[in-house]
Amino acid sequence: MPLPPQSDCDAPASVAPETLLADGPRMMVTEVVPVWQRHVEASRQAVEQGIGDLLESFSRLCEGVVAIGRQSPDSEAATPGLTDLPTVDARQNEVLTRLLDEVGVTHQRREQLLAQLAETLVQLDTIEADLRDSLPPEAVPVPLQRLDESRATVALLAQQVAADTRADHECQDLALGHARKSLSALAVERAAPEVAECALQSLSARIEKDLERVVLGLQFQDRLNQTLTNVACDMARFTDWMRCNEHASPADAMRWLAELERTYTMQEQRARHHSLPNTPSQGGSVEFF
Amino acid sequence: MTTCKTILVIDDSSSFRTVVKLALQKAGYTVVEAVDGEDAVAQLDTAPPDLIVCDVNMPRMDGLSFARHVKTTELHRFTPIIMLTTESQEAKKAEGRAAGVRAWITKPFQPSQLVDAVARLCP
Repeated sequence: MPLPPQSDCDAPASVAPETLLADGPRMMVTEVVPVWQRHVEASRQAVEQGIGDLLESFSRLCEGVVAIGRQSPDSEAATPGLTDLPTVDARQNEVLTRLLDEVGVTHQRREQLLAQLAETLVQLDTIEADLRDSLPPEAVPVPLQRLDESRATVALLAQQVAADTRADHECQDLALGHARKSLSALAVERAAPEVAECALQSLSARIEKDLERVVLGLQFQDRLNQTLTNVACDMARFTDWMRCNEHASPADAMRWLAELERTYTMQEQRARHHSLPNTPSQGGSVEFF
Repeated sequence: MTTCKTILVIDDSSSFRTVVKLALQKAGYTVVEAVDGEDAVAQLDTAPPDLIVCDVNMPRMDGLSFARHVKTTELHRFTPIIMLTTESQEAKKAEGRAAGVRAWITKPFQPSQLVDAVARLCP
């Protein structure tokens, strides 16, 4: 509340201001108090201006933080195509499991083929042994010799297939390892921006709360403003009064204080006036009528 | 969040008007300002508000006088008024209630409290 201009009191018309000011104590009051008053008013204005500017800055800062928080994608709707981390993990696991299943089926098929091959070789061995047993050594027919050669060739092939299978297994294991590493790296790459976004949102929410607390704290400037206004107004009133009243009685003092108390706007001012224990108001109560 | 509601904020402290403006604008309201009751009376018809947030102690025309004035006007008598003040005396609150004030908030206030009260009285 801006201070009212210092008003003249109802001085008797017959008394010239020069005569009033001639009195030492009254002159001191009329000269000194206005200086105090100007200091108080200047300080009040400076605080008001400073806090106002500060609040404007906080306001802009708050808007910026809120804007950043809103820009940060927090849902699939905010960034189409970007899925959350658990979904990515689930898809990766699904792909890997399917790949492993296919490899497993291939392994089993090869194992079965190898087993069949081994069994066939055993049967051939048995047939050859039976034939050899049923014929004299000098009468072993040529087909049996060819059978023996074929059996050796098949055995060689079986060994080759087994070796190839082992090599395939090793290659597949290696490929699977690479696939796992690549997918993990991909997951980490995808997770990094999401983690940053979460952190940004959390930070944004925290700063917003901090700013609300700052705004709440800065409102106490309003209480300071009102008290300074009261004191400065009373200084002006006191100066006026002193110019017109040579002697003050206790009743004057009581009237004065009662008038001062009437101007108070806060309970804490009234408590302070009477030297009562002062509990600063926490404010913030809302009452609906 | 945006609303089409306009709130008239009356306070002689510019810094406090900034506080209130910050809280309400953030909630999506449009804010117009007045420095005291007389200034607000002059602005009422040019920018009719949906709700008024008013301080009590102001120069020229105080908040309670302004509230009484508003309730005598044909156009604005149903406009809800919230008093936002350091004043917490029951006698003052009773004056406010008699003047047609709908809510009394004691400074300092939480921005969310003000926004909630505004939303409740101006849905």
